[in-house]
Amino acid sequence: MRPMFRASLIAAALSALAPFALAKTVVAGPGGQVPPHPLIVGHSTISSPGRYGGTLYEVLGGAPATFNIYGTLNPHTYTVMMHNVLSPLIRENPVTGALEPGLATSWSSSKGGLKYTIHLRRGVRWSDGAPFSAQDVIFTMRCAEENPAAQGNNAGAFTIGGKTVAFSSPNPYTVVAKLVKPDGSFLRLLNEVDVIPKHVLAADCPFYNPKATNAQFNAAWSINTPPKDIVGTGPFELAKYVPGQEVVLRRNPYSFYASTYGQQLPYANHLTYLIVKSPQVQVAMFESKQLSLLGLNASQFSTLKAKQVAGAPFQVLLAKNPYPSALAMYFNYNDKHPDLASLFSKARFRRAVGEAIDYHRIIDQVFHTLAAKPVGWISPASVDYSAKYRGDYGKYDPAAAKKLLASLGLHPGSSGILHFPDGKPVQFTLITYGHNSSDQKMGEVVQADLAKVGIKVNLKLLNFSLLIQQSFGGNFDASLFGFGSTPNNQFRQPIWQPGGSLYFWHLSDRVNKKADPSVMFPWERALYKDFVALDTTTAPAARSALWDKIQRIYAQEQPATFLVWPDAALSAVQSNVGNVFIRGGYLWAANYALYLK
Amino acid sequence: MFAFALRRILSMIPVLVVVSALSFGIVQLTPGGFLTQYLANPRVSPRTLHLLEVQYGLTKPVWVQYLDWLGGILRGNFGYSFLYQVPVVSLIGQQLFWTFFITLLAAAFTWLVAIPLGVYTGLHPNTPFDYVANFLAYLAQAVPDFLIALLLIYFLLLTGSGDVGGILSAQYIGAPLSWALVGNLLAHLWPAILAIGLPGIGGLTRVMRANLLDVLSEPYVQTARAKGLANRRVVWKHAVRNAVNPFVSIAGLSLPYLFSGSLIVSIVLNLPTLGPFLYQAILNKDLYVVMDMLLFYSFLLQLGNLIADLLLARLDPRISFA
Repeated sequence: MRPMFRASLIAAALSALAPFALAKTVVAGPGGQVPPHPLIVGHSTISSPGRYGGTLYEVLGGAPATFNIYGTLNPHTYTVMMHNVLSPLIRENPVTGALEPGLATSWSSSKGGLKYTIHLRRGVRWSDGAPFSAQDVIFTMRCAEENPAAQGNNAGAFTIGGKTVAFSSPNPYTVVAKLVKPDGSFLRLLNEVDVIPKHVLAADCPFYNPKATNAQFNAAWSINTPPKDIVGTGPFELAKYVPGQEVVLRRNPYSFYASTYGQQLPYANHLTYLIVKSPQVQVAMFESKQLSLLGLNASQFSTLKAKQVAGAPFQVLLAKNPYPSALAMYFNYNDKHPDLASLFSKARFRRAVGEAIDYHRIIDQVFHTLAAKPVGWISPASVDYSAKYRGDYGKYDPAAAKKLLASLGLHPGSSGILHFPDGKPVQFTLITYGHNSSDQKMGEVVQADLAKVGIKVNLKLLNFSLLIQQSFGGNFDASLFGFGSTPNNQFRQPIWQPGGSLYFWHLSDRVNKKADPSVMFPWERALYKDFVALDTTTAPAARSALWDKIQRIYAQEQPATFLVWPDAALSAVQSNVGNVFIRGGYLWAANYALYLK
Repeated sequence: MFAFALRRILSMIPVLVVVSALSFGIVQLTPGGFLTQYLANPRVSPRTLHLLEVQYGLTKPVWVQYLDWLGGILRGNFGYSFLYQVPVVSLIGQQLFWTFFITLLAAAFTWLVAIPLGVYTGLHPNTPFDYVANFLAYLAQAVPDFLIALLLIYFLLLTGSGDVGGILSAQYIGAPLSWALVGNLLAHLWPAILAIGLPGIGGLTRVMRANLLDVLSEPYVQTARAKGLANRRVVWKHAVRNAVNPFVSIAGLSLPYLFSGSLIVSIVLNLPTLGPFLYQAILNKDLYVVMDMLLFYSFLLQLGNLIADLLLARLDPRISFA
């Protein structure tokens, strides 16, 4: 899934760019041509001037399905193409949340917030030498972002006030977006827009070529396409793909990225992604110096850290992950057992469950101490976060949990298991992802801890596809998985949309796929109303007030029971790789800035 | 013989149709589909899901989807991968060379070690060498191949080798053929061959030893000895030649294996073979990739059986095509 679900720690650190300012003359990289208005990358991604040359080796956990980011939802495609081969219009700083230039240099909105004018960088060229213009942006919006038939579209987000945002280009370097209703987060949507070339792909888009089909657009830039036909404006271009083995990128001679030290970026001649599925082999290849950089899980971190301390020639880094996937349990308010449905619908029950689960044990045993107590839906790194409600999550207090359960009329039987007033035992099945995953291990902790307060949990381990199918089909009692994370909290609006399918733990508000608000709880209606209000609220103070209200509802009602906040970004880097560092607690390792010492 | 081979080839067609129908039915019976994974993605609207279902032909009745796929095969179109959106044949073709290369070498290693070892232990039963060889054969059979692969990775790291995982180091992948490339290939190849081949050696050695012991006690071997034939001639012409018959059948049944590779070893050693590719396709419910691969393996199994039958008839005069 695109950024919402991507967990790439390194990619998250890519977009810290210094706003504006051409500090000094930029010297071209080997074989490169500096455009007239390069984007100067700030000190946040570059700690020292680098050396040109060499090959960086990174890892892909699987083969890319295609090189068309709009024709797939494959995460490996995104890793290769986004930030490397393609460039976005606007970038959102993952730490500060500030919007920074990309292909767009500046932007402004009309007084009522119904018209946005976006000024594009002049003199940018695609990696095949063709000039970049506003027509490419219009093409990207029409054929990809706003095209519901494109697999990786974002048409939902660009439909504001029931109408698709209308993009036009009054001149080659200006794009105008017209909305029918103001939307406070509109500019943040442009952070997601990676521009693709009209001159290469127009023949595959039905809007530009009536003979083309939507299937043809989705199938464009497949793994069988010659690399020279896949072009971008990013710091790298595609050089070679060996199926199942590696993807090789090389320096884009027309790269518009430059450092504050006056050097055109990237530094590396090549960036090679080796396709290695097994995490054990990834670590072994890193240890044998076949990889320059590697993201780690908690147990790999401990092993490699011990080796670093013993003198191994690499660094193992622990940084903060600003937007991890929040891991939570969801109870089905429409459970087929009426007793359970009624129980799960009560906030007191969900609160009791939260208080019965020892999150310390999850942090220690599942995440090897490399995680934090749960914080709820919104990341503390987000500008929307309100610390006021932090105390409502991760309150381990089994005695209080027992009292809450007793107040619901649940009383222990002779075996210690709680019973409903009608004498039935309180037991349910918790479905989660198996394969010895952290989700499975958390499920085991939940099972043991809830047994201590008298709730019997049957743990059912599934493959991911089945877990999603059962959850989204409403065929479950309780479900445990990560619902992804995003810097843009407004992307969660579809969850609370009446009649939508994402609010899978309360599907009865959907009759024949249409909304039936009458069966919604008052707090659900209030939550959705606040999200709708955010659409048209642009004043920062008013937006903060709305986010505060949303977080108050989240805290009071606990729609999901959060178990842990896996906020550690773990990685290992060879000692000969420069410009990988931790600043402000976050890892900075932008591919265009990395160099071999 | 020609008529026999032709008959057998023609009889493959109905078997393949039945296998494909059964496979299609079983794949359909398993819960979920390729688009299920999209349900949890807030970016994917119900409209997009519907459009994708139409694009992939998933809104048609199952039997129509099956007949469309079958009809496509008759026209030389084996279908498209939902995930990669390219013809399935091109995907399989990309992985076929390395799969065949690695597993053929591993099979050759297994047989070249197992048959002489089985013969030797069969000829020298209950000797210290036989006991040691038997023990090692049991051990090789008992240790899972992936464990051998993990131990080999550990050993390579211990020796400071940079040739861990994959079939070539990054700088040689896709590079033109050179001696340096061959050297690098060999450095990566031996752990793979050892991990895939070793468990097979245990089993085949035991089979060869037992067969030979059986054959050596047959009256015709006693007769050959009584006639005064040289021991070498008795063993190799009369005993081993008869004892090796079951191996021909085993070789025939191994043909699909040569094109699938060892799944877990391939994952552990990061080998570019078809095994992990099929596994991913099954997990993703990439329908036509799964169907084409199953059909391909079914065809290879029948082809292997046919080749084995023809070879047996050639090797054993007691077998006729009549």
